[in-house]
Amino acid sequence: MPETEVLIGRAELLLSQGRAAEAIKQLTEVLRQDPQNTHALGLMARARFDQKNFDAGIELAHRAISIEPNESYFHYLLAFGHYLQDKNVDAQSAISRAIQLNPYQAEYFGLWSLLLLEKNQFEQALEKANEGLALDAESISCLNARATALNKLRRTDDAIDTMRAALDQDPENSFTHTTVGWNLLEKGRQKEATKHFREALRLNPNAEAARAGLKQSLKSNIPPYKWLLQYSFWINNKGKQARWIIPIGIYVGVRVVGALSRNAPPAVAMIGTVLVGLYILVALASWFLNPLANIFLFFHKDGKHALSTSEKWNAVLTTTALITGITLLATGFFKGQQFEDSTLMLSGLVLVAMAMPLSQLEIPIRFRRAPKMQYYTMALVALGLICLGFISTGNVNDILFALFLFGVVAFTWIIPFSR
Amino acid sequence: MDNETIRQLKEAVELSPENVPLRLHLAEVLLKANAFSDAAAQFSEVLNRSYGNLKAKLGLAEAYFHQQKYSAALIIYEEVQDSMPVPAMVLYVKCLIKEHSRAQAVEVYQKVIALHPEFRDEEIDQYLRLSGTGNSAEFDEEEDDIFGESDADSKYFLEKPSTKFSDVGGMQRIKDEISLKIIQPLLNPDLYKAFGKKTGGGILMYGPPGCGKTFIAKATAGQIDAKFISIGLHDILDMWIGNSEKNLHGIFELARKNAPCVLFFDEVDAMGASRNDMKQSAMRHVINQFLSEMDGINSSNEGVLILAATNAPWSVDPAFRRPGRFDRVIFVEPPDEKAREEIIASMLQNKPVKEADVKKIAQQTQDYSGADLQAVIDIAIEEKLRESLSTGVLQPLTTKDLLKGVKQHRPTTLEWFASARNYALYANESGLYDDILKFLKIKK
Repeated sequence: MPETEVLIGRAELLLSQGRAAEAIKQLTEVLRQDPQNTHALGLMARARFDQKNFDAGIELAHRAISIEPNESYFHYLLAFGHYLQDKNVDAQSAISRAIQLNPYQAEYFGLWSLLLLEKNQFEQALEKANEGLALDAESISCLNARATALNKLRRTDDAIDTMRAALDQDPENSFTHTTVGWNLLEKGRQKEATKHFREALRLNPNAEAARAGLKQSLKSNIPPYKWLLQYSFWINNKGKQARWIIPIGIYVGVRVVGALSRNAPPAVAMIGTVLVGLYILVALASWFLNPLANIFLFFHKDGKHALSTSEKWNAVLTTTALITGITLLATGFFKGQQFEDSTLMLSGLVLVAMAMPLSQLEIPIRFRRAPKMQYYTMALVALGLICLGFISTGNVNDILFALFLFGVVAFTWIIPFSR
Repeated sequence: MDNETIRQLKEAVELSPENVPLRLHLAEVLLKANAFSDAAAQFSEVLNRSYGNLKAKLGLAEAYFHQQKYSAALIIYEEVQDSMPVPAMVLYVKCLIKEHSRAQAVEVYQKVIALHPEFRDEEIDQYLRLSGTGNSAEFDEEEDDIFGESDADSKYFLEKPSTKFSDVGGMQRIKDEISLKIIQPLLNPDLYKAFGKKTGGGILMYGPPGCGKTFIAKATAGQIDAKFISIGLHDILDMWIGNSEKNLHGIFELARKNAPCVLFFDEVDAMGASRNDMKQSAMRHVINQFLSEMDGINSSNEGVLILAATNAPWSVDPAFRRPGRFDRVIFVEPPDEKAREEIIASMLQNKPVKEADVKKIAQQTQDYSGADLQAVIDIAIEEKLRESLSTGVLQPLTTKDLLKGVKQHRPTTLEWFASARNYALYANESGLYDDILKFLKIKK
């Protein structure tokens, strides 16, 4: 049996080649011979992170720490694992410990800065990134974190300089191109962003963040979508509470305006109606813009391949339901039919309402072990179809119909909070 | 011995079934007449009646050996290890070779040599000493000289496959390519010279794991009756670690000495895959050595066919693909429905099967690789074994069991395609991955 050093050497090479499973085989052999080998434990943790098996990786990092509590690298690994799991508090305490043990590693500060960015603490993030860059002016993770922080702080020129520096440093770095892309997108420069996302994907075709960015940047070519995206950037940069309070505040405001304008003179009432109408339009847009914009991507040579199966189906189903629904409603309206008696208008309404759950349906449909919201979504779609069946035979089942409409309204309120 | 004698002996044994020496004689006669399964049956009968009969044991082992039941023969040989005559020891060595227990084979062979210094056996020499040129006197010297790790010759396994292209189901396109590119130049050198077509270079095969890349490489060797050297992932990695590009030279030399020879590099991307520059310098040495060996700068590569396989063609150093090197890059796709039918049918051979609808199974195993199909059958067999053990009656495989296996084992190629699709879409500047796009029916 080869010596542990040879096995570790192999494992390191395998890991750098992205063969996590093979590396683990070698490392398991090392640990069988020498269960206290911290070097192997650390490498194994990295391999587990590569496999997205974060719990196992974190467990290994803990084991390495228990054997060598004063080695900063293992604390860094632990922090990295928690960061990947979005457990920012745990990550924060681990990275502070790592820096306490060894304050001279730029990468540690880079990770800290990224953590602070997640918490929207942009000033502190910038500070940490700068500290890291003071240690190593070429640290890619620090440069990326600094560029993002500057961008969020609206210091656009500095941000662009930093991004250039990062790209000069390593023009073939997919991660950097992705960061540059998102920063440009947030600034509303979607055309340039598209180029960087495209380049990031060329360098690492499996970069998920770059593909997501590519889709957003392409869709931003449609003005209403761009506004919606800018709104979501804006609201995400606010604190955690703001993300709840702002939409609810707007909703309450609109209700108040609506209530007031009922008893107001006609001119004021007119303004009220316009405001309420605008609100409804925006609210609907937030539901349907994404699937509609995805339809637009169907006609783009990169865009059509970037969409997932679910996104493609959602786009097609939602658009079809909306267009048929609206056409039916309009036909009924122009024929001068009474809403309650019109088969056309009733089925139109059901179709438009069904567009909401259809836009959230995960396809292919899984009946087992799907998230709870998916069962709700599926039930609504099924209920909608049953209602359509009743309406087409001429006898509307009032209870089912009411249940369906109520379900959809509840759905629009639950979905934003279930995410 | 003619059939008449055998018949008479059989009759005699039937008359007095308890006569052990007579039965033993019959078994030995059968063995000599190459009726191995009959001989094995008679030897077992002898052992039933006189337990521990050495002659019968050795005879049974020999019969097993000829029936290619090497592991069964090994069990017997291990039992009687200490009281074996030389001919039996030689067979023992051959069994060990067949079962790839190299170290043990060497040990036993040394005992043979110690007893009979003059002893030579072509077949064994070829496997154990590779070059086959060393004389037996060397065996008296230090073990390291012949079998030691220091000698590149002895580290790599040289074999002579009997698999032919006809044994490989489907893959017609790949067979044609290999034939045109590397087999024909070897068979008709003059024709290629007349057209001024330079021979040499190799073929790089890529595709999802388990789809027969290694198998077809071996079949190439069998097809032209050449020797076969396979260099795996660990061999390549160890070249890096020991920084010993010298070994690489040794491998090529070994292949040249044994021409015609197919030199096969599995997972060749490992040779230069690292994207981070941590080990860049060490890596370059190995790559450069490889390239200059392949170019045949210092010695001619005539008669050496070079094949390589990889699951990650995007990680293969672009220098490998220049003209004269791996200038043919072939996509080895998962078997199509017809090929799957052939594969399943051949895998089910010699297994207890009751009415297996191979066609139906092939239809339901889209995207399954050869290795996946094997896994499906294994799952079905395990299930049947469990049933057979609990009922005590052998339960044959049916279509239903196999389809159940299909449900349990998802194709492993999908993961590969998920990644390959992205490379084909976003990093396909030179059209290298057009075959993947074609296979996935993606139009750009």
